[in-house]
Amino acid sequence: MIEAAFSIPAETGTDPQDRIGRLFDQHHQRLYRLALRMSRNEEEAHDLVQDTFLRIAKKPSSIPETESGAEAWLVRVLVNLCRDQFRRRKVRDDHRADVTGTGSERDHEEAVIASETVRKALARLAPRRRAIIVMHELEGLDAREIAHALGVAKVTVRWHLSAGRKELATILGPKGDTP
Amino acid sequence: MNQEDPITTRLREGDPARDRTLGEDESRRMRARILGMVTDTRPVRWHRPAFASALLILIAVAGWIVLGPGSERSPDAAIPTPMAQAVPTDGDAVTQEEKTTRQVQYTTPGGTRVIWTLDPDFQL
Repeated sequence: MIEAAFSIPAETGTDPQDRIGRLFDQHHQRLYRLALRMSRNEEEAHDLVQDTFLRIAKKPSSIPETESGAEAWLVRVLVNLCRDQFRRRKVRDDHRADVTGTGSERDHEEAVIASETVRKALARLAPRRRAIIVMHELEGLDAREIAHALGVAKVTVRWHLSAGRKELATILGPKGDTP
Repeated sequence: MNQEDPITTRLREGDPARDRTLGEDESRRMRARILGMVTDTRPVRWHRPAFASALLILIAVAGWIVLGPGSERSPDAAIPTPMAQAVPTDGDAVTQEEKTTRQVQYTTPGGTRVIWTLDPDFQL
């Protein structure tokens, strides 16, 4: 009992606020970019990032000890929040509309149209598949890194990459054509 | 990654996050909001000074019981541990004025339990 009372805590001086503050400073921009690619608009992306950090703020003990583990944990929480949203909104039904957008959007610059097209196409994918495609195609991560980030097997990542690319090819169609 | 892959090319050309960052003001506001919600779930630890004081008091009380007025000790007796205590010779709760004998029990460092019965009327 005496030994337990005088033992030094494993995280002497690690205030949860300090830890979460550091994690925010290190990772919030990366998470924001991921959220922009995973969501329908900026406002949703903003909420996703905030909700991710709020979730760990409520339970700081769930954050892994290592820095790489903590980053992967944040990504996983964000992707899971996307999945929750997806289930609630039944996004697939909402996105049966024309992926290339309305006539008024064609008046915008080409880059904006391209961005909206890609965003809508990605939104048609299930969140986990979307996350895998985004991390591989846009963030440049390999299958091993994606598997570690999402807590899934490498074979699962490869399968989703293959299936996701086929799905996007169908959704996007050949460049210049309207589906 | 195959740079010439048409799907990859289209995704990169239309990357919704290209050159995008969360603004400095908004980052600061979000950070403050998040840190305001942090729950400190660290376990409560004993404060060393308080526990040390309690332990010293306990040792002092035990020492007074063993070494205090009325207790007799042989010079050859083993040094009693803090577990030493004076107990009545029977199980009844009686005052010291009413009883003529007392028992002193303690445990030596080697683990031997010693019970002394102190009888002022004892004669060899």
